[in-house]
Amino acid sequence: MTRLHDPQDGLIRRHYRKKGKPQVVEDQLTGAKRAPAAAFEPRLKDEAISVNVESSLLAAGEPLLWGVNLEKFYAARIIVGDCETLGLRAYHTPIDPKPPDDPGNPHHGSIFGIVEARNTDPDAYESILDALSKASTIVPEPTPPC
Amino acid sequence: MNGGILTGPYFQNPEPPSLRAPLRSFFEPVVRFILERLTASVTTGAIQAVDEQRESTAVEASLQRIASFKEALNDALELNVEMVNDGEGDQVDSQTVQYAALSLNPLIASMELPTPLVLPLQNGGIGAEWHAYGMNIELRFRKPYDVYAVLEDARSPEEFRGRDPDLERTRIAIGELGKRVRESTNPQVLANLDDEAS
Repeated sequence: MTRLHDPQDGLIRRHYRKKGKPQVVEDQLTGAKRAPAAAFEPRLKDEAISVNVESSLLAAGEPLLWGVNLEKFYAARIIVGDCETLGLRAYHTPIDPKPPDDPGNPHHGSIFGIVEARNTDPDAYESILDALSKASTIVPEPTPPC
Repeated sequence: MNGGILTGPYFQNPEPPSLRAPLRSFFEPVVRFILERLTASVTTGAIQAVDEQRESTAVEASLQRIASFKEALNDALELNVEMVNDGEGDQVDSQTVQYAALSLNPLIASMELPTPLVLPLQNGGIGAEWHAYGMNIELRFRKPYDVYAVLEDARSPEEFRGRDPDLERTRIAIGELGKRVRESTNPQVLANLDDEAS
């Protein structure tokens, strides 16, 4: 588990499509397309938000959408600096493979701090979700061949 | 004393009455009355017909909006089932969904709103969002009476982020959004705006 310090390092978070369409919103203040706050919510059982670490993907020569099944998910990108600003901590937390079924994930990352906020300060939790949603961009997808 | 003989004008023969004058004076108000009633009834009838048509169109539009909202809600619930089956989501709480639907239905029915983006939230909640006409309206129904709202307007520096359990602040923002939708779909309002711009 390695702490990520480069504020520009990207963190790729996948989120479900609905009826095949990415749940992208167009922010009316900035005009930018972003993911809704729901994309950054941890499950009850989670200790952190799971992401893929961009620097790890790039070092391995993998695209940002590596491991994202585009029939089911789309991907949003935030950066480490956004997390730091919110008091969150981003780590590179590779998941070891567990044969025979689980291939693991060498690019896995975790954002800590949001679950603690949810459990101790619900308003702060909502503010963090807002900020992550506002800071997010949508990872472009390859255009399907005609 | 004149011995009770009545004199003077009381016995003077009055001029023979004109046949025309009394007739005109009798019929004129009657005709005017009938004409006025007729005109009024034709006008009222036309207005009533237009009103009824307008009302019927409004009711149809309202029902259409409710149907679209219901569809969006159902899609969100279907997505939640998929997420839960994949082990990627917590099950949406039915009471929270019911509360959200009951809270939003009257607003959607009465205001000309686009269909919101409805999404399942983790921990049992459900979210509804509008991003249109310069407004960001995000509602996160965590539990019944526990609603977090983000209300932003590109035309105003004021914003609201916080709990809005009875949707008091949300109602105002949604009303403004409805007004903008109405303005944008009313050609006369647009023409007036063009005139003002030129």
